[in-house]
Amino acid sequence: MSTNMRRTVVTGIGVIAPNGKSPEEFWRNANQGRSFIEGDAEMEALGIKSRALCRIRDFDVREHMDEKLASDVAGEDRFVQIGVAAGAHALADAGVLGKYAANRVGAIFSSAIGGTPTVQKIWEEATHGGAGDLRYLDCGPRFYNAGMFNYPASLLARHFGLRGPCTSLSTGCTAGLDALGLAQQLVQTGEADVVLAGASEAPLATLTYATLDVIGSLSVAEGPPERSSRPFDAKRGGFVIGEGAAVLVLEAADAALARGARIYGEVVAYASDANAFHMTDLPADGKPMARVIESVLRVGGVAPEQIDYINAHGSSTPQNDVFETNAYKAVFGPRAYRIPISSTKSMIGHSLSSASLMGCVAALGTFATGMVHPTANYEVPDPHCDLDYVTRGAREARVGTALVTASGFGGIHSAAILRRLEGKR
Amino acid sequence: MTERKVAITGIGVVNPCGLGKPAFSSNVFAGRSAVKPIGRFDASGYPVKIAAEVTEFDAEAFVPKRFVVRTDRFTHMALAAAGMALGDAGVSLETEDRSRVGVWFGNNAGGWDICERGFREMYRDGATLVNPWQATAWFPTAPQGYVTIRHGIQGMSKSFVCDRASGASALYFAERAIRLGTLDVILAGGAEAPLSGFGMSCYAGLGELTRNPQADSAYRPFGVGRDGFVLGEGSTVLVLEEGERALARGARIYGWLGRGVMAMDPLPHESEGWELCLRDCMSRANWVPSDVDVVFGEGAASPLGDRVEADVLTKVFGERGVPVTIPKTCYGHLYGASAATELAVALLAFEEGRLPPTVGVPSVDSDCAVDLVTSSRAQPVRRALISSRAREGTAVAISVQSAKPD
Repeated sequence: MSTNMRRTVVTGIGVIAPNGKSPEEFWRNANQGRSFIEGDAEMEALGIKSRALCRIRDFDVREHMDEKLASDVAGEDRFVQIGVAAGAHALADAGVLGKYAANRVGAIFSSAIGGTPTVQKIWEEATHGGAGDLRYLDCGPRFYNAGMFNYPASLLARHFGLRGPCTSLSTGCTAGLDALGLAQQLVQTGEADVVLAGASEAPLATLTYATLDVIGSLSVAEGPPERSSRPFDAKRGGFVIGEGAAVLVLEAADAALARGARIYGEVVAYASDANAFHMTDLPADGKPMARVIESVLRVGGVAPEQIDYINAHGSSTPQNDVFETNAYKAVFGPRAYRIPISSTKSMIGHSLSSASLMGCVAALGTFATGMVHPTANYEVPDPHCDLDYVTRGAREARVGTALVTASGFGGIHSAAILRRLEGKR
Repeated sequence: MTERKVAITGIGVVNPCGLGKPAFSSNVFAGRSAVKPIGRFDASGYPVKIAAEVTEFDAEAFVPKRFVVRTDRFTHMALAAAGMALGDAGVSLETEDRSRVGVWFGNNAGGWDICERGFREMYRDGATLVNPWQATAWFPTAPQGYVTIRHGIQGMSKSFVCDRASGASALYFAERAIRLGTLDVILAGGAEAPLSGFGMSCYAGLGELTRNPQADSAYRPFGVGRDGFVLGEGSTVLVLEEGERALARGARIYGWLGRGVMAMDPLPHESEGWELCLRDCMSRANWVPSDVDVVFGEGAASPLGDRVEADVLTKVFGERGVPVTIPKTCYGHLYGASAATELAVALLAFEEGRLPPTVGVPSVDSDCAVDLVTSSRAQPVRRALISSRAREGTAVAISVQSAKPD
């Protein structure tokens, strides 16, 4: 990293998640280790193997934005609604509007599968219930708006007058971190002064379940549904699909300090690579993840000894959790056993693109609350996963530097380093 | 330290106007349009009757069968274009540090054939009988993933969704990735294959596609009687290389990619951001407006959109101050593959010493004061701007300069 790069800090958080619609609520529930995963009758009726998901309950757009914006998103897919809601909260939280020229404020968002539930509903309408012949259906822009992942960012730009760079990533389950990384790059290089890094995912539709179930991705773990996401546990059996949106406001550090902004933490570095191995499978040795962690440490000028918390991808699939564990051992050596590692997915499932930004929200929560949240539902040790996964409740810890990791379909691995600014909340 | 520059050293195209650079170039510069009545699906019940289809593409001629069966058409075309681009550039990845190579693509809306297949399987056969490739074939990052696997590419790779600026978003960030030192080589471009019955329901509902059934004159950017653009399909992949290394290996350099600019105009009649993109893009390349030989415009052929675009061009270049061309009139709008395709046409214009034509515009509208290139013009071409704008307002400008000395 060249020395003239600007430091980048997080000054606003917006989150719409199963465990909270504000960062404080999210952190409180996470620190209590509460699972929000539930059994689902629709999944059961499909006859697939998995039966659990994680839903945002009691979401009403009118509670999360002004009337005008609420009416703009009222007819749109849920991924648009929750993405816009998280963005509106993040902007209000940061208090940046009016502080910068409009063309210096941008938005980089992401989604893995966008408005699949709406697309499925339109398929049913266009085929007389799903199985009939396909006919042309004039559905106006609602179909397109559900399929075009940059729609939430575009609506936010329109409503709040954000005139800087605005685009979205589609890189699956790493996309939230990827949006964070490119947003940081725009601020670092002076291309923009403020960039919203966002992710939005509302994938709960039967086609999603069927598609992921048939390849064995979704959890078949035995026991009560709320315990079906069991990262690093010997009885884990796949991930639990979930919904959620998160938006972080990134801002140049000097300007944020000068205006007296509340700073949640610094985005120190981001890195990403491709495993060139398989679209979904992972090599057990963890090498592609080890490589990306080494990259992010190098890019950020951070020594491995400085990492004192890892918010893991921790998806609860048999492959991933071994893959990741081995990556941490490869990078951190014997010290890997002393770094607290937790998986937010143990409580809120896997919200695809949003999951890694949920991980960032959780990591920023360690700075704010002085606690590392637990990996919930852990019961049976797996000899291949033998690190410190914080399995017995939240732990008090003074985390200074946190690593957040993500892996996704398409063979992508991404990582970011977040740091607490001393003396700042 | 001198700033790293970005050379373009390879072109791969799978396009309605031709497979591979020679066929594509000859058809585009001759103005032979590939816009035809829709043949891919029965369009009789649809308000849109024409499209630009890739008709002679046999995926198995380019891609190993095991990849073909697992993937959608948009990935097939991306794999083919990526292979062509690498071959054209003479880059052999076996000898590369593949952690310094990436894939940066645009794709707006994923795989439509696989989307229909998945729905049919689920509703006709049952949820447990959906094909196992659905999860990885449908999403817009599938081409990126499969190209990295096919070529053993291990560096940072990203895919972008931004309506008609999807491809331009990928180029904008790809250029930055090389200039800022993240990567040395990038396969940049995109792929799009929306021409299915269900895909057309999605796009036609927007009202942005022309409903004129006359294939040879329906798409009329800046023209009288314009009512929208034509949807196309295809993939364009360019090889971007860090400049010193391209020079050192004696690569043929088609052109130098300049620093892009991205901005947002939140409302359709607004254009401050678009104007800023064009101006800043030129100043980043150390150009003045009179240096620009041609602008590849967005040319969406909407009554308002073209007027806004014409006004922006007039503000920046003066009334009819720069030749403007829309080769998309030959191959349709390619969304994720857009911008990269126009960039490829610009590079070919440098080689040909000709501006490619905009075809099918009966007469330029008096409310669009643009110098529209309606027939091919022989002239030296050294500097071009590629201008993109999404329906929702994202604008991107990209500059490219010939590697030949002035």
